[in-house]
Amino acid sequence: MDIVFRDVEHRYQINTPFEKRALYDIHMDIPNGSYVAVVGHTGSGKSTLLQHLNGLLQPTKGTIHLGNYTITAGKKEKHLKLLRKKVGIVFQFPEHQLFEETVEKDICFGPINFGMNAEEAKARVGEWLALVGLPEEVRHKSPFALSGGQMRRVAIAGVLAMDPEVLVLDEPTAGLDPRGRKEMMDMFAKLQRQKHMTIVLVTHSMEEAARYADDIIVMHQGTIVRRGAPEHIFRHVDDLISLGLDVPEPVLFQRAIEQKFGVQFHAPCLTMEDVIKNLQTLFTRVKSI
Amino acid sequence: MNSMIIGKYVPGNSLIHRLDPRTKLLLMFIYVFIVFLANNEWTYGVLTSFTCVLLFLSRIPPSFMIKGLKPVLWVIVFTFLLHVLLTKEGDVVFQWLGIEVYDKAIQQGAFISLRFLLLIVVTTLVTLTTTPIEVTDGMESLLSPLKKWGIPVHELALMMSISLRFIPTLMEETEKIMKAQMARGVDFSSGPLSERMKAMTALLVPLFISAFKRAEELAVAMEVRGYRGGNGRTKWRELTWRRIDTAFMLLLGLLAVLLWLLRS
Amino acid sequence: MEVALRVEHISFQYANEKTYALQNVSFQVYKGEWVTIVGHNGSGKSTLAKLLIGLLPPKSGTIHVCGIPLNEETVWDVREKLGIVFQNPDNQFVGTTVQDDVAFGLENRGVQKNEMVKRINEALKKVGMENFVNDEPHRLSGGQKQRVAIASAIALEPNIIILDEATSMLDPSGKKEVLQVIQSLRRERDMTVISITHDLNEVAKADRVIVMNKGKIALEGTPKHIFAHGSKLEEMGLDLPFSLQLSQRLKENHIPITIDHLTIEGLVSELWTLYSAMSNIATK
Repeated sequence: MDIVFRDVEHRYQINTPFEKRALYDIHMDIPNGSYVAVVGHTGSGKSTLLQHLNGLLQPTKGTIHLGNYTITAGKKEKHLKLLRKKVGIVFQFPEHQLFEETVEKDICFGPINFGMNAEEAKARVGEWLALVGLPEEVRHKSPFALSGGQMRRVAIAGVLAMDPEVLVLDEPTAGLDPRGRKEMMDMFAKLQRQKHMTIVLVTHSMEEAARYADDIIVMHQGTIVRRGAPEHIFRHVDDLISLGLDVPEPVLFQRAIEQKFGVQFHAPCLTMEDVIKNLQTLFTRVKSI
Repeated sequence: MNSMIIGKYVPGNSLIHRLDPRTKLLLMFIYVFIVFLANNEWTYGVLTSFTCVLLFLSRIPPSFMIKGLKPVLWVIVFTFLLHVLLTKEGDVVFQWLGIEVYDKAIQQGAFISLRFLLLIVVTTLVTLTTTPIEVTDGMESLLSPLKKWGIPVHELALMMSISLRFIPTLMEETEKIMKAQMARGVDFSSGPLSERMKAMTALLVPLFISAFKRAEELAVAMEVRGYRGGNGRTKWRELTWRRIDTAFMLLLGLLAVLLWLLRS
Repeated sequence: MEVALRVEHISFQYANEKTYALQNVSFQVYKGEWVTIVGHNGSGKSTLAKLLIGLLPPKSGTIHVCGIPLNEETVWDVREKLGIVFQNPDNQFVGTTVQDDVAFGLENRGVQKNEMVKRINEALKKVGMENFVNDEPHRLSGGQKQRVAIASAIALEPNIIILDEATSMLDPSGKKEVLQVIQSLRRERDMTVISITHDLNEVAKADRVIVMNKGKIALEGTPKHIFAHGSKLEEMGLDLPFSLQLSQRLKENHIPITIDHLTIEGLVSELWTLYSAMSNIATK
C-alpha cells in the first residue's frame, strides 16, 4: 500500500480560541514495503502525523492517499474500518491497552472486530505469539500476570494479528532496558523482511533511526524539514544539532576523527562496523606510504 | 459540552476574584435561601439588581455569561411554560386553541423562571471567579467544625484537590486508550448495544487499571514526602479574611432584611 | 569518609515467589558521593529502592541511613533524610500547581509559612522552574515535571536523594534537563545521590557503579572499572558506551589501542597519537 500526503495540515480545536496548528505543508510519499523513521523532538508534530495514517485524525486541509483510500479535508470519511485493518498502529506503551482475561482473547480482539471468525482467530494465536517471540504457555494466562516486556509483546501481537500492510510504531522501545530495546527492534526488522510490510517508526532515538530505517523524515515545529536516506541526513551534522536533535555516536565519532585527522570519509558512518572499516582504510594507507 | 461554563475558572483580578473563597461559598449558600424571600416585583427587582452588580464587579463579560447559560435556557423556558399552562388564578389574558392563559400564571411563571436564572447566575459567578483549589480550601475551612463529630474534613478536602489535579491526566489517558482501541477496530460511536458494551469494557478496564496504578504510586509518593494525615500539618494556602469580606457579608445581611421588609 | 547509607546483608523474597529478589546484598554510600545502581529489569534494583525507603521490610539484614537503623519505629525519621524521585512524572505530582506540589512535603512536616515561602522559592530556582510557580502539571513537559519532583524533594533538605529510574520515561531533552539539575545540585550542595537507572550517560557520570544481577551485587567500582568487564555486562542486559565498545573492537581488528576509552575524545586522541607515530615511521 502506497502512502501519499499532499499539502496536509491539521489544526486542533479549529474555530475556537484554542485553535492550534499542529501540522502544515506536509508532502510525503511512503512507497509500499519501505521502512521509514520519523524523528523530531516532543511537540514537533510526529504523533499528530501518525494518527493521520489510519484516519484517527483527519486533515483540516489537503489530501491523503492510503492505497485505495483517499481522505480529503472537509469530507467526513465514514468507512475507515477497513483502512484501520490495513494500517496497524502500535501506540507508545501499548501494554496499557490490554483488557481481556487471557492473552489469547486479547490478541483475537482486533481480528474479530475486523470480521475474522473466532475459531480461525484462535487457531492462529500460536502463529502470532511466535511472531513476537512469546512462548505458547502464556496463551491462557492473564496478560496482567506477565512481565512488562511480555505485556508489550502481547499488545504488539494484537496489532499484528490484524494482518496489517502498514505497521506504525510510536516509540515502541520506550522504557525498555537496552537488551529489551534491541530485541524489539530486531523483531520489527525481521517482520518487515518476512511479511513485506511497510514500517513507519516514530522515535526519539537517532541510533535506531540510523540503524534500521531506509529513509528518515525529520519533523520540526509541525512540518517536515529534512527527508532522505540516513547517509544523506547524517551528512549534515550541524544541521541536526541546530534542530535540537541528537546525532548517533558513530557519526559524532566520525566527525571528531575527521577534524583531528584533517580527512574526510566519503560516506557517513552509521554503525560501528562503518567506523572500523573506515579507520582500517586510514591506517593501512599510512602503513603503505 | 464545550459551551458549559459552570465549573470553569476565568482568571482575573476583580473584587469578586479577590474575595475570600469562604465569603463566596457563604454567598452562594445564603443566596439559595434569600432567593425564596422574593415574591413580588419589588423584591425581585432588588434581587436582580444585586445580582447584576455582582456580575459587573466580577468583570466577567455578560456575553460570556449568556453564552454559558444557553444549555440551561430550555429548562427555564420549560419551567415558564409549565406554570403558564397549569396555573389557573387571576384573570384570563387570552385564549388560544382552548387553552386559557391567566395573568397570575404569567407572573408566577416569570418569577419562578427568574428565581431559577438568578440562582444559576450566582452559582456560575462563584465558580468562574474561584479556582477549584480555593473552593476546596474554603470548604475545608467552613466544614472544619464537623471534625468534632469525627468527620474527616481534611482528608475529604485533600481527596477533592487530588481529584481535581488528576482530571486532565485521566481525560488524556481516556483519549489515548480510545484511540488505541479504535485502531484495533473498536467503534465507540455506533453499532448494536452489545458491541458498544464490549467497546466500553475495552476502554474502562485499561482506564481503571491505570487509575489504580496511579493511585498506588501516588500514595507511595505522598508517604515518602511525610504525609501522615492532617495532624500537625501546616498550610501553604492560608485563607485571609479581610475587611472587604466582612463588609460583603454585612451587605448580604442587609439584602436579606430588605427583602424581608419588601415582600408581600 | 562519612557513611551516608550502610546496607548490610539484606535479603528479600516476595510472598508468592520461589526465588529471592535480593540475596545478601551489602554496600555503603559515602556522603557527597554519586552512586548508580544498574541492572536489567528484574535484577532486584527496584526492590532495593523499596527497601531503602522503608516500603518493604528486609527479610534479614540491616539498613542504616545517616546512622539511623531503619525499622518500623524509625521509618518516618529515616524518610526525613531521604528525597526520592520516582519514574512516572505524573504519579508523584500531588499539588494542583507547581508551588502547591513543592509545598506539600513542607506542610506535612509542619514547616511555618514564612519558611515555606523561602524554601519553595529556593528549591524552584535550583531546578530552574521559578517561572512556572502557578502552572498546572498537565501544562508541563515530562522533564519539567521531574524537575518539580526534584524541587519538592530538595525543599525538604534531605541528606540523600534517590532517583528511582527518574529519567526512564523522558525524551532525550528531558533526560538532559534532569541530569543537568542533578549535577548542579551536587556542585552546590555536596548532595549524596543514589540513582537507579539503565541510562548510560547517568552511569558514566557517577562516582561509583553497583551492578545488580539476579538479586545480587555482581560488580562494584568506578564506571571505568565496571565498563572494563565488557561482554560480561552485555550478558546482564547492559549497554556499553560507544567509545568503549569501539576501543575493544579496534583491538580485535589489529589497531593497537592500549586502553578502553570512556569518551570519544580520549579514543580519538589515542588514535591520532598512533597514526602520527606510524606515519613518522613510514616517512622515515
